[in-house]
Amino acid sequence: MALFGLLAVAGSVAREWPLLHRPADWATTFSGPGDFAPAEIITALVNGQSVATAYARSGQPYPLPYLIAFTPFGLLHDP
Amino acid sequence: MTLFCIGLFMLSMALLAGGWRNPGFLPALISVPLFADLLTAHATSQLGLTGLCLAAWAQPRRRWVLMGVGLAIGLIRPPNALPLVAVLIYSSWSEPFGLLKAVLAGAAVMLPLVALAFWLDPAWVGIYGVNVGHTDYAGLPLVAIRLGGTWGLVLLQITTILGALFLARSRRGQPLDPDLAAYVIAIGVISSKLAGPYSGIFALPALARLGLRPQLAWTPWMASGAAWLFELTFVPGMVAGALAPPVWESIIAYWFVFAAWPLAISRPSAAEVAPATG
Repeated sequence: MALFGLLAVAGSVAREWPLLHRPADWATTFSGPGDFAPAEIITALVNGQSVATAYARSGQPYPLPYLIAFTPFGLLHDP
Repeated sequence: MTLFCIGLFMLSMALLAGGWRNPGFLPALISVPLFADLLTAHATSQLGLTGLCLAAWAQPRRRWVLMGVGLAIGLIRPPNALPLVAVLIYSSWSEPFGLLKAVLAGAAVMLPLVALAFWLDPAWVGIYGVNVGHTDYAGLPLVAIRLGGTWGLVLLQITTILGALFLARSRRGQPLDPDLAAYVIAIGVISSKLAGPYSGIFALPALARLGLRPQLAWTPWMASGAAWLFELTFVPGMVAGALAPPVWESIIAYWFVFAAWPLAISRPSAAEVAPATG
């Protein structure tokens, strides 16, 4: 179990080596909007623009109904 | 969002993997896929996993409404969800009214959003197809796209569904065994978008369930530890100035599907299963 812990720490440090050298990035790592931020779609929805265009431009591989369901998170900016 | 993701993962593990009392829980919690998922706060994937685990939990308990709601949520990532959808329909075949309840419950969750989506963008289904075909992939979906475009992806999807149904072939009309359910969810990794190691979270309930079998209790630790060892191979590149691990790092998700294969071929005896069975 100790060996596992050692491997996990070493592996995570190895994987995030560049991030460790950019301390400012740590501030956003755990507070950002996450990987799921269909900002284009939210903007289009709120501003009454074409959601179709925004969805096509976003390239999101998720069905649109689910992206709409996540809109409240996007509106919070930092969910 | 990170806390939200951790909460969803804990719920998924409680529903299908015996929760924190399972000896396989900790190596799944401290694993490369979950680490990558939390760093990018991939809430969609976590929500999808929770939905699928809810559906798999509900079917043997004949909680049809919850099964329908779970599948509706899980379909946020259709390639991950479709093998389980097929197996749940097959194993619930003798309960047409239960299936009808599940369909109605799922429709109640999704129809308002689907209607809104069609109102905002009547062509969204077509755009979704285009988006899926042009997303960054690695692993088998990338090979499928290179060979046959979107139809290559469709073929890969059909193959995973047939594979899942083959594993469940003797379970028609029976309550779904949680080991099989967890492995069917893991199989979805093969056909899903592989754009980071986070894709492997769908195999973690299956990996953790190995911990419920005393003879395989160390397997989750070894599988998870080996994945971290694999991450160490990126050290030279990182030190040399690479900004991130290579894109093909994503294929590590397959390792977890492979590691959990004993769930697909053997059923534990009653005496073999530890008390926390989920």
